Amino acid sequence: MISCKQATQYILKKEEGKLSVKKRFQLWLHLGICSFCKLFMHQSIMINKTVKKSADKIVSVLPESDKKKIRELLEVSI
Amino acid sequence: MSHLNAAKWINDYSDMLYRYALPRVNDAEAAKDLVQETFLAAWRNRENFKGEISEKNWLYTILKNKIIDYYRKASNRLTESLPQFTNKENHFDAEEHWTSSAAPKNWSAENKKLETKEFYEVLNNCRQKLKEIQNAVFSMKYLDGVSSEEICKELNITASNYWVLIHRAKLQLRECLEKNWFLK
Repeated sequence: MISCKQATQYILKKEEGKLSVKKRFQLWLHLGICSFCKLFMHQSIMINKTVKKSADKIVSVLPESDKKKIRELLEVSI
Repeated sequence: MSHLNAAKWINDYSDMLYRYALPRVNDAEAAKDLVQETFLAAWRNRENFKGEISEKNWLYTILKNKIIDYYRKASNRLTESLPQFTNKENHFDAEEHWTSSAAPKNWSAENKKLETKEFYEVLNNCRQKLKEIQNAVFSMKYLDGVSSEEICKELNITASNYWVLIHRAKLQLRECLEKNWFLK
């Protein structure tokens, strides 16, 4: 039986489609008895989606002082 | 491009570039520097801009290269410290099972609204706790969907380094979100 540490590694590899048939089977066996790793699997996917989405939600603007600084740099640059 | 004045240029594109850089380097000062370097590089090369692509895409291309350079610097610093860094496991016990403090808990609060400013703040704070190189790998993978082969090549790390970094980053981020958002 694989350990939880291995199982979580396998879960991440599986997300990328990089887990061999044998290891997929080992993972399946592990998940059958380990609720922690099962939670990890679901939460991991949720985090992936959330992180992706978060980048599109950024509303920050470059502070005016930084814009001014860049403007000045460009003006003196050839 | 020389016909453009610098002020208009910065007005039109600086916020857009900043918003692109910020989540990728996850550090406001670093993002500002990258935007500044992008404008400087573009400005110095403006005579070579032939208009085959839009100005906007041209600036994006420069910025993307600057971000990769920024990631590479983090990965160069990593080369010697990785083994030591990976020994600092605290999620699993000696038998490699979850320690009681690190074991995932049910996020019953999953229905807590996620697309809120408050949640994104927590997420960003948690991401800031990742080491630079972890953030580099994490951003390339999860924000830009770069393949692991490409990430290893760009950052000059081995596949096994890559998996260690992703694994640690995910464990850390998951735990941080759990403590600071879901079970709070």
